[in-house]
Amino acid sequence: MTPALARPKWQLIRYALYLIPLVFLFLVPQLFAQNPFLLNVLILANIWAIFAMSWDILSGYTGQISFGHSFFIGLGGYTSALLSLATGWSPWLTIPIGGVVAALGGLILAAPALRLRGPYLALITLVIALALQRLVPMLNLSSSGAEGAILCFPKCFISYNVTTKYYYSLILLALVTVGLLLVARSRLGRAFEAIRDDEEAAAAAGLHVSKYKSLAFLISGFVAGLGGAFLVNHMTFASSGLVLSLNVSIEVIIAAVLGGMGTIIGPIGGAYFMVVLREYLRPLGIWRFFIFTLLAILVLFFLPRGLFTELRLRLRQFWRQLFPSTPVSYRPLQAAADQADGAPRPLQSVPSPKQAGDASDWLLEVKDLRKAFGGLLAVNKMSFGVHPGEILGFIGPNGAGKTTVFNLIMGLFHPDGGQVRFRGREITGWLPHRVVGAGIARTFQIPRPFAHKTVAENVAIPALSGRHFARSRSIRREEWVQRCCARTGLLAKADIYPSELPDADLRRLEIAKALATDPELLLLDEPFAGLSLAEMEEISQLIERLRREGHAIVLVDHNMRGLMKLVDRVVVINFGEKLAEGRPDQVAENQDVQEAYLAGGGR
Amino acid sequence: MILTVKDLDVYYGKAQALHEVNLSIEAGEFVSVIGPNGAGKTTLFNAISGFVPHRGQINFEERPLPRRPDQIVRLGIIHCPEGRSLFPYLSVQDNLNLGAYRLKVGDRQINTELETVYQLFPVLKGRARQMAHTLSGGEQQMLAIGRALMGRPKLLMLDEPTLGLAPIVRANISEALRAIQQRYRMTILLAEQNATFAFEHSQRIYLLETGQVVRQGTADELRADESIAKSYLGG
Repeated sequence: MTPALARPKWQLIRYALYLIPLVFLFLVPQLFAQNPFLLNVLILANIWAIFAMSWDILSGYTGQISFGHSFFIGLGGYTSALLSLATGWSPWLTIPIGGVVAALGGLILAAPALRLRGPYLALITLVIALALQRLVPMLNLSSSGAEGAILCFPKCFISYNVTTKYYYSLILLALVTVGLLLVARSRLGRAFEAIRDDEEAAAAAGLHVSKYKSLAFLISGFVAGLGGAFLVNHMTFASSGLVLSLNVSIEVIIAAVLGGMGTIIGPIGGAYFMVVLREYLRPLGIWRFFIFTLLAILVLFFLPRGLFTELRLRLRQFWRQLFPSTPVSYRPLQAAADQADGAPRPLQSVPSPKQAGDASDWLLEVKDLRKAFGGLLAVNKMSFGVHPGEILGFIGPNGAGKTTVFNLIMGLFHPDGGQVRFRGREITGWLPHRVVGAGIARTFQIPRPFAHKTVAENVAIPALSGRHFARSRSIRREEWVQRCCARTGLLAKADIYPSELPDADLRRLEIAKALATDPELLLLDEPFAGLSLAEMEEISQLIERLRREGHAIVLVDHNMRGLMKLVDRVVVINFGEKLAEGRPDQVAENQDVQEAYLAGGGR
Repeated sequence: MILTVKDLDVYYGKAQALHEVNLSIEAGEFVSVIGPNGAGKTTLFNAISGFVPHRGQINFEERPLPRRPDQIVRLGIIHCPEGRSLFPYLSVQDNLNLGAYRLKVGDRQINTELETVYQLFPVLKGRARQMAHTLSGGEQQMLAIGRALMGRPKLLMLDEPTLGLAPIVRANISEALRAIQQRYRMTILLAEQNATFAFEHSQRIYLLETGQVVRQGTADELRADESIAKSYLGG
């Protein structure tokens, strides 16, 4: 149906490949029945794999780096142990409850994550994990030990033999793996990756960034908590050193990074590598740390993207050499798209374009908008409007405030005063995803594609939020993505990565991403910058066509030759205030505009 | 000849980005490389600056270029990159000072360089203590050029200095380039998408298309060529 998007057979083969090690792991107890030590090591490896994957979905996939995963692991572990102690419930009840409590802990940790990024967030996670580690001993929980240890609580796995425990851990690992892979491959996972790659672009694509971040923390917390609870039951005690110490957090990170961040599967390998080495090097005493560290450094030096990612790349190369790929033909689709191109229509019914000058019926109305950064008044007394179906030029010198006005409209900044109304409804101060949902989309001055995704996958991200899908399901997402690609002339390049696209196509991709949110109003920020005359002409035609299809457009650009031909009206701003407004020819002759902006040139 | 590039080939993996490019500049000359996106202008600059490996011969002041970018800068070839590459969280003045690291001189001499730059771009003086990322696009471009000048270049390489700038800012930069050239007789190599801008300043022009020099000559010769006028100067 949709060759531009789906690679069905491949996916199946790849998942089938994952089954091989799984089957092997299921056979281990049969093959090594005489070796309980090995089984014990592998149980630990399975649990660490769960930890590392839980870290990966949050830090590798969503880009929220956590240095305090022991917070989740400890919450899960202690919850299970304490509950068991207090109520005598079965582990099969207390382990999931441990996961749920850790998930709630994830929500707590998500609160700072919504405001902080990068090293600041990492530090906060570290501090919260430390706080819990200090807090637990003070609670005087322990029946028997120092440091808040809980020994030998009832109903733990003490009565099970090692093979049984091994199977349980393997089943839990398999469940977690499948669950996280499903998350990663779903729309949720795509949103996570988009946030990791570029938070602002994700917001502009209409994603509710805070919601998705919180979900990532929730999921990661739940999985880590499950693992922590399982570990405590397996070891038959809970102690600070086992589940709460910072060593735990750091080892989780090492396992995930060794395995390959952002791959879900990779951290399993990393965890096995780490745990097996750690346990089998035990006879070496203190030296094992040095040897392990050395090996880890060597792996990262020669395989910097982690074991799994590097292995996958090698395999892919090998595969390509075996079977040189035949390029997929897009022709039939292209033809269909070109046909559709003649009579394309946005899904929304759009009112017919009004004549300019009819001030009563604005699509977008900006009134007395004001924004100060510190002492600098970036936007002041800014008022203008956009008619349905109109192309409005929005020009002014660099630093005049054009992009700031865009950001204020889109809700990336909160205005200090004034109003923004869209289709008569006040949208001032709405969050970006709501503004996008209302029907406004923007492109960025410098194209901001999600680099690790193909063109079609890039377009699919804003389509996640597409308000159309919130309302009806009359069209499949793949079809919608294809249509957006077709409308911008990108269909033939749907499977290419942005790094392989020339500049002009990156601009098209920006526009395609904006179109995927099904907007009525498009804010285009410098679509011509750096393009050749011929490319500019093509983009002009595209913009013209979008207008014919019913979109209203606000166009910022410094290329006067390209812009003036295209627009119905022009608003000129300087120092954050409106300088002039009118038809292109009127504005071009305006003395103030000449002095402040055009400088006699206007090329 | 202050710079001669002979039979320059650059590969990115298997893809060849430059094919046997030949180019030369005399001391004091203003030469432009024009051509569409992806023609290889930036690659050519990066090859000269030592950022990408290449085959072929590049001589500067009749001697082959060293290998490392920092050694090349120390010779006096200063590259003002596309996209400016400022240090966003350093002040304007610190950005400028970093441009002078090539010179083994005391603060006093650097101050005279600073004065020169502030004279060319008075806006920057008013913003000396401001962080670079708070400047407008035009001011950032001026800062990038100013930082390059701080190293007292023998050869100044400007990559797309007018990208995304308002007509008025472009005019400012034009003026500054003219002043630099007249006052200091600096040798300048410019890469430009905006051919109109390049023709305004250059004595000679190279037209680069898909990694090859397809035309070269004085600005007047190329302006007279109808096909070039049509596809690059808009008729």
